[in-house]
Amino acid sequence: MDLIIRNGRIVDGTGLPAYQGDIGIRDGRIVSVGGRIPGTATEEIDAAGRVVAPGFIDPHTHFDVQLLWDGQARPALEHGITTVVPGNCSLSLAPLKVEHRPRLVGMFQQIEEMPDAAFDGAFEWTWESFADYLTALRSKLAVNVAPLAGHSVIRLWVMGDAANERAANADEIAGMQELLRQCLEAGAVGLSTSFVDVDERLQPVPSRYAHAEEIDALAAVLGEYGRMLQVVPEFYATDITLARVDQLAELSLKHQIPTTFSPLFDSAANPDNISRVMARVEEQMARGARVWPQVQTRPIDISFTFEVASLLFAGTPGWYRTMRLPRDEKIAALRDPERLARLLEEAEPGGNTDRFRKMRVRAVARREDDGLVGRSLGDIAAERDSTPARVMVDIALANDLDASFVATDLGHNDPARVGALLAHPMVHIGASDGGAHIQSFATYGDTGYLFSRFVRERHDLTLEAAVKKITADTARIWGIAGRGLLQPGFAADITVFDPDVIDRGDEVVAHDMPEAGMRYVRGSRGIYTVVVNGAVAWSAAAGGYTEARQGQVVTR
Amino acid sequence: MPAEPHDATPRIERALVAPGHDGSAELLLRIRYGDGSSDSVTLDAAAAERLLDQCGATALEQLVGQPWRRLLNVLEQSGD
Amino acid sequence: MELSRARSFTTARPGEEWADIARRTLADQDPGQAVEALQSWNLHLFLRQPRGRILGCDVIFTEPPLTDAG
Repeated sequence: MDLIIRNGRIVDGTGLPAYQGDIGIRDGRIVSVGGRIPGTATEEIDAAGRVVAPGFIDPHTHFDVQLLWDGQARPALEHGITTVVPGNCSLSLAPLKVEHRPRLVGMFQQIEEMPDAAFDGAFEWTWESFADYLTALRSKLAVNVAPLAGHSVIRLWVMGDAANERAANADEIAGMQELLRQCLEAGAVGLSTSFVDVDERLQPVPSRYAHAEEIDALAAVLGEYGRMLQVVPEFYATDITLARVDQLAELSLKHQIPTTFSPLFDSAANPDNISRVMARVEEQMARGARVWPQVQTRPIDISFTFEVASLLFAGTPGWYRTMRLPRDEKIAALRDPERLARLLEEAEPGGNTDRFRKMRVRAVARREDDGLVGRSLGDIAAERDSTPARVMVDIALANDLDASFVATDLGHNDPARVGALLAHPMVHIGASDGGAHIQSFATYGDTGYLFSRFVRERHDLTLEAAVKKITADTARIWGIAGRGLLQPGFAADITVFDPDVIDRGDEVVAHDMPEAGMRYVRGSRGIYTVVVNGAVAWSAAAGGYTEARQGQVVTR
Repeated sequence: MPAEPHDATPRIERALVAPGHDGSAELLLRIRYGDGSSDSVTLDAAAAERLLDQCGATALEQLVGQPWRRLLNVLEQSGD
Repeated sequence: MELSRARSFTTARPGEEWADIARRTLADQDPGQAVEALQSWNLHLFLRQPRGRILGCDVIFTEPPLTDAG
């Protein structure tokens, strides 16, 4: 054997109760599960007291660009993610003609907040076709990649500038069908499309110009391969989401394909959204349609600066008026003691500091204020013998308004409602958006949060059910063969973790993008070893990331 | 102003701030139709700002009762 | 299996504008009032870019919401 993981508590992905045993691995595959494996292996890992589970699969990511210089998809791998699905929301890096590269870069920058440097010199564009893109990826990977082909880029390839202007004609639709067929032959696991995204000019992405006939024709090609259709629906608009569920169900039944829409949120502002959408999903699933809502585990935070008037202040009219003033007038108003006193009274009436106390400093321009980043306004206020709202103003002014703050857990934040939703048998846990929105918030660690919050703390799911949700279920929903279970013959994608410790780390600023570009990240807690195709790709004992590059493009 | 009891014009019934998917705050409006049914729509920060301006509102509560046509006019005239 | 009733909607055919959709889906109504009704049921298309322009993938409701959704 190449590797034996001994004495672990095996949670095999089936949802059945955990049991004690060894796991043997040879040539990248699992060859033995359970029982005591005699003899020795080239490498052995003692997993006593720890859970040994299939590697987690993240079905909604935007690691497309990052994978070209970082085949480990940091920090996803250290959270136990062994397979990522990039190419969501109609955007993939292929198929793409040379002349369309600037258009795609604009879309990626708008939607994913990728900096210029990520596209300028961080990798070499060597492809136009999907097959050649996968070739460029293959040698670099430490994680597995199950790539989607993006509808917007397929449209762009076939229609050029008209992709953003009009409906496709019959010839163009046939051209898109053939191009999608080539992508699927090369290894795409499906097609992504978007009904909501905009490009860098705030204009709709090409996929939104597609009429029903075009989408139906592309779904027909997916049907030839039994592959996934992923869509981004309108958020919070329940009636539209219900209509999208019905549309997807019809495509699923007609072409016998799985479909998924991502994301589905819970919000106190629209409390019956989830129950109505899930009722419709249940009805459609009962008909045999496959319409999987993707639900994220983490709550939603809202970020804001004093440069732009955030609606977060709309509930305090004096603040909202002040925030909307021209820059100089705004600064003058905040520096005026009398006006500031009125604002502070509105923000903290009668000394009640609840509104701002838990908000945290997200970023600052002044180096000397770096130590404030990540701290709560309440904490800083206590240190300065001040109040949260006043220290927020002080920090903003000291940084010439170039400071940002974050209000945490403002949406998708009712643990009982979200926990019940995550446990629902027709909910697909995902929607992490890993690798996207990188300068706004961290999209990593959702799996750790699933275990810490909804398994360990709240018991909404058993350990076995939670593992199944993000391993075997995901593989089955997406048609990813030979992964997601600890079973002889399956790929040796394995995550070893401490169920009493596993969690997401704190959100921190990192400057690890090309040319020291910043992003928000979270490290992991309680993960001990991550094995990808039989090779240890991350190990707490070995100091983190290893040199292993055994990741594969996951094809049929 | 609040809708009249027998008013058939769809009107804004409620305005709430909600977190958006991308980490920004959005405005969620509930529209009440003449037949008693209702629906929700979401505005981004820029659209919400224009709506408040056009309605002469300084607080979200002041949007309540505004007719749908006003909302539509505001949005149609915005050039961004 | 019978589905419960849902709010009816359509999508635009290539080249269709509001008046065309009104003619197709609300044929028994006065054309001007039909467009007005359609727009009032589809404010979501005015709350995004490009405002009020119908895109191929858009859901266009052809009746008001079914019930008070609370």
